[in-house]
Amino acid sequence: MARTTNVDELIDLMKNRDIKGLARAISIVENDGEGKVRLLNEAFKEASGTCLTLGFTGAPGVGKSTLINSVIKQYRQAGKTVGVITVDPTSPFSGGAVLGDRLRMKEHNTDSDVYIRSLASRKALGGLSEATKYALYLFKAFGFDVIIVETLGVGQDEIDVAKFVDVTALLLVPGYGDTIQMAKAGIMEIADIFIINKSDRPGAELLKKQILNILYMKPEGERPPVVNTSADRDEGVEAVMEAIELVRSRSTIDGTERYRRRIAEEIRSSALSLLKNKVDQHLEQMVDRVLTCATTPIEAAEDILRHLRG
Amino acid sequence: MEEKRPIRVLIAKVGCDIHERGALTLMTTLRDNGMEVIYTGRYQTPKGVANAAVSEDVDVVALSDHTGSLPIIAESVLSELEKFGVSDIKVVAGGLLTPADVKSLEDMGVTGNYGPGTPMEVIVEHIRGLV
Ligand SMILES: Nc1nc2c(ncn2[C@@H]2O[C@H](COP(=O)(O)OP(=O)(O)O)[C@@H](O)[C@H]2O)c(=O)[nH]1
Ligand SMILES: [Mg+2]
Repeated sequence: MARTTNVDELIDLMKNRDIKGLARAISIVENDGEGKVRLLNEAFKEASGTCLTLGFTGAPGVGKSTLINSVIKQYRQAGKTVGVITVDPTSPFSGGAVLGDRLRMKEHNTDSDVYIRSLASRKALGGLSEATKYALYLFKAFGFDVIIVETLGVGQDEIDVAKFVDVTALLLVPGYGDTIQMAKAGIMEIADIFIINKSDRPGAELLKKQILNILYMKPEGERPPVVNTSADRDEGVEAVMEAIELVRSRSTIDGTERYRRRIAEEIRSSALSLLKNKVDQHLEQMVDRVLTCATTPIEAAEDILRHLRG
Repeated sequence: MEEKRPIRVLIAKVGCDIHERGALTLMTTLRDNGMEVIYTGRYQTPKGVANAAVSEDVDVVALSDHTGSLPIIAESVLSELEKFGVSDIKVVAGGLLTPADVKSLEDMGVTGNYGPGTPMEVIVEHIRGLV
């Protein structure tokens, strides 16, 4: 079959659980192709409300892909289907990317109940969090039991991704000037679970103490679990699974409120992304006007907003 | 209207070939030429390669092998791709090849078929031309 871009055909393929349909749909959405909005609307209506979405974030090399590989194994043993979205950085020089996460999960390549998709963090289209959010819609429509997102814990985008998943795990490793890693604004706050990976290395216990010390301020019922793992030898993975279940059991208490908040966040981010595109369309013209002293940046901004209303 | 995007390439190794250097060099070269590259790692099965290619919605699968088995590998990967119902993903090959290998690969529709020492620019241009 030639590469189809027919939206109805893609939706049918996805309903028949054909990964071709999902794979093509993601490309269209990722690249702002024709039919994107309809695909996403259909996906939203089809989306399974029961799937569990997990985010794993942390600096490059801390072992996210390796740990996710082990977590996939656990869910597969429990008979669950798993979808994985991984994001790697686009080279700012060439626009190309090496998408290396799949390599660490290669043992699942022949398992038809595991679907892995690598995205590049191309900045062009509304940023990483937009692309990931939309990919999540499609994954949910496909109906995986568990969806896992891997992102680099370096910027605002990655913090935003946490708003779109049920449980966010932050990976740290010992011996990295620890407190500097942790102080990274915003990242500590979004983590539901702290994972100290490479705990086979010296300093793991110290790091755990430091984290517990910070978390001590939170009420006990809301305190994120802290887990030691050595992902490359599958150690501590059961504890990660227990931590996920613990956080989940907490969040069902205010499940509807969480869902409301997430939808609000989804609408806000989509609206801002649309708005940004529109604003960008007027930008050059306004710059010219400011440079010729015809207006000021402040007036220009208000002008643009007036334009949008019309 | 087809959407615009970087060319996506899956570099794949099937079977027990331990030589990885060619694959890794190709990987960084393609990235530096604006492509998105995914590497399967070594010791993959034809089914695993086809599954990765379909999942990642790549334009091209690049098979690398230095054990003299490229025709067999290509044939089985092509047949697995067919089982997935895709025929639009292009397959290219490179590594240790006899003239007879090249002939049988070309008969299957596999292009490129570069031997060791082929300049990287040649491969980049070939892949660009395919997509
Ligand atoms: N010593 C040690 N190395 C690990 C551990 N987990 C992963 N690694 C290694 O760390 C490197 C980076 O792992 P990867 O999963 O790709 O990290 P990511 O960039 O966070 O996805 C690889 O060489 C892994 O084999 C661990 O628990 N202990
Ligand atoms: Mg990774």
